[in-house]
Amino acid sequence: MSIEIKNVTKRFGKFKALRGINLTVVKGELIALLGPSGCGKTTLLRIIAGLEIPDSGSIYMFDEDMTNKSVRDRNVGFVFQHYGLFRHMNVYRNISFGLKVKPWRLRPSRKEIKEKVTEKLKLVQLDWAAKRYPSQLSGGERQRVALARALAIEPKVLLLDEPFGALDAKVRRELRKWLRHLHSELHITSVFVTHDQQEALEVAHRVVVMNKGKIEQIGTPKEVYEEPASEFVYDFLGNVNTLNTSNVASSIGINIKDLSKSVFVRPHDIKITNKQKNEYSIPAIVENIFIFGATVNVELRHEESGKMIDSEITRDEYDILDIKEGSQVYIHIKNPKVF
Amino acid sequence: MAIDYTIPTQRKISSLTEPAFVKWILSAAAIIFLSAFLVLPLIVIFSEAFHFGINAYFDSITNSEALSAIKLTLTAALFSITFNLIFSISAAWAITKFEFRGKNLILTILDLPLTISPVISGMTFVLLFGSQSFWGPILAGMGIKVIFAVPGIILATTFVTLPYIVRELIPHMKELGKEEEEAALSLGANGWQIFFKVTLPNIKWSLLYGIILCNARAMGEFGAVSVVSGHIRGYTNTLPLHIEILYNEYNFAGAFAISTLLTLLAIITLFIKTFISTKD
Repeated sequence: MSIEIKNVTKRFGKFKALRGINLTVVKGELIALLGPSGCGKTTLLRIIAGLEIPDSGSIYMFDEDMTNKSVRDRNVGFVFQHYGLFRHMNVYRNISFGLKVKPWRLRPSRKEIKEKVTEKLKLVQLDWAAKRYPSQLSGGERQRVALARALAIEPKVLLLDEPFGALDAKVRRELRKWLRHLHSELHITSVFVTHDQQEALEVAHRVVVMNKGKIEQIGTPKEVYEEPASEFVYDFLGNVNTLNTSNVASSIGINIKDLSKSVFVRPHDIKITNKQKNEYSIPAIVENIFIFGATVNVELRHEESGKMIDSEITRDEYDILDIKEGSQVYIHIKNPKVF
Repeated sequence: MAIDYTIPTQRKISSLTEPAFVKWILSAAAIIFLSAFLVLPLIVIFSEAFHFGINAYFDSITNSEALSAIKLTLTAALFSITFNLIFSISAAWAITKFEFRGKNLILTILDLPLTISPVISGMTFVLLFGSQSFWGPILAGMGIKVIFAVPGIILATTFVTLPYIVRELIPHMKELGKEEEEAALSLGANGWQIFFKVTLPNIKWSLLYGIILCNARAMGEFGAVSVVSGHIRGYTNTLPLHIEILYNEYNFAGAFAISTLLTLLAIITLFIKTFISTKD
């Protein structure tokens, strides 16, 4: 086991940031801490790094108790949301910093430092930028420098705090892919924090969904998306329709005794037909249609209750349906979840 | 029909520009004010200083009393800058990098020397360390004289110049945040390495700016130093006190000659300040 977190709690004044966190990270794994802002994910990451001290509980790394060890002795690479690059040093000096501050007995020779920095610069594809200062680089390039700098000290664990949070959407997607490739090359145990569900599902081997200082669910992206453990996880991982049990219970063919519960359905699990297909068809009226390239979002009004329901269909399905605003249609619910 | 392709000349929006005579009056008022209050006194200082010729001028600034005043002023400035430097960096570091109770109280107290009259600052030191005080006789028993001696002058100068460096540092260090320090920490740097390799290079210009202001105030301080000094010639006289004594003795040329030194200090300070502002 690379990292073991046992019963960690942390409070800031009256605010309980973490309420009893237990988590094990396997060696070589890429794990995402996912949750809304204020859920404690960054605090947990900073506790793993040693930048915060937990109020109770313990942290083990490679079977060694790290709870009371300082950041310096944990040998972790930390990548900050706003890069945290040394603004008065060029890229080369930023990356070599961690090697140069080592006690002289452990410090590599000048030649070795140069080799290591050059290697890391190549790894992040920035060998042309060694002499540049952080202010002369784009956001994506700065984040790669920050990553190279963290990797230069050859850490056992890599921790990334919202690594792509400050970047624009296109660069984010590119860096995301690139990070996954990099990880499959290096196999370094990595934990990254994000509030973007798509990022977590796309990059991580396992996702830890957090809410209000607690872990809601730990699982592979497929598991947390398809088998959410709670209403929160289901809601947080994608767009969702919340329906009253009483309205749709009979239509989805499941027998629900407790009518106080709600039924959750993803928009892409709501299919639209022009004609009533079977006894499960629910009549609805098309209110709005939004076309985004290959997918079409249809806003429907449930006839019986007047509740709005979102459906996501493909462009092909839409063309065949031939619907417009005000059309009378039937909807069919697939994969409903009841919480 | 022919089409007119010429772009119509842009008309000035009269409500946004002042009539010429208003501009002229405003500029003239500013120039007259500056001349009367800044340039004229400067000219007077230098013309009075050289009233009895260049030899008299150099004699006034090189006689033993003047030299001892210069020496004492430099000593007081050096000590107060050193104390303030250590204090300001520690205080700014603590205030910007840590969270603790009473932070706002400290920030308010830091401004005290600016809001309190320097004479009162001086008097508090007399009350604290004078012969009527609790500490005065104890220190005197140990052979240390504070009031009417050099230590008192250094104390008073340090007190009145306390806010200058720290007030430059706090806003700048707040703006810098602590991400770079945390990054250095995670890369294995120790406290001194973080300070000298990361923090200091980032704050060096605002630090220098604070030192320049602190130095100017330290060398020019009159009120607080006047109370604690006792005006002992050749021993506890700083430059501003020396000027006062000479002036009171109707030695105007001497007073103005010494004044030129402080004036030059002010001008040099202004130049360095401007230079630093362009760097920062």
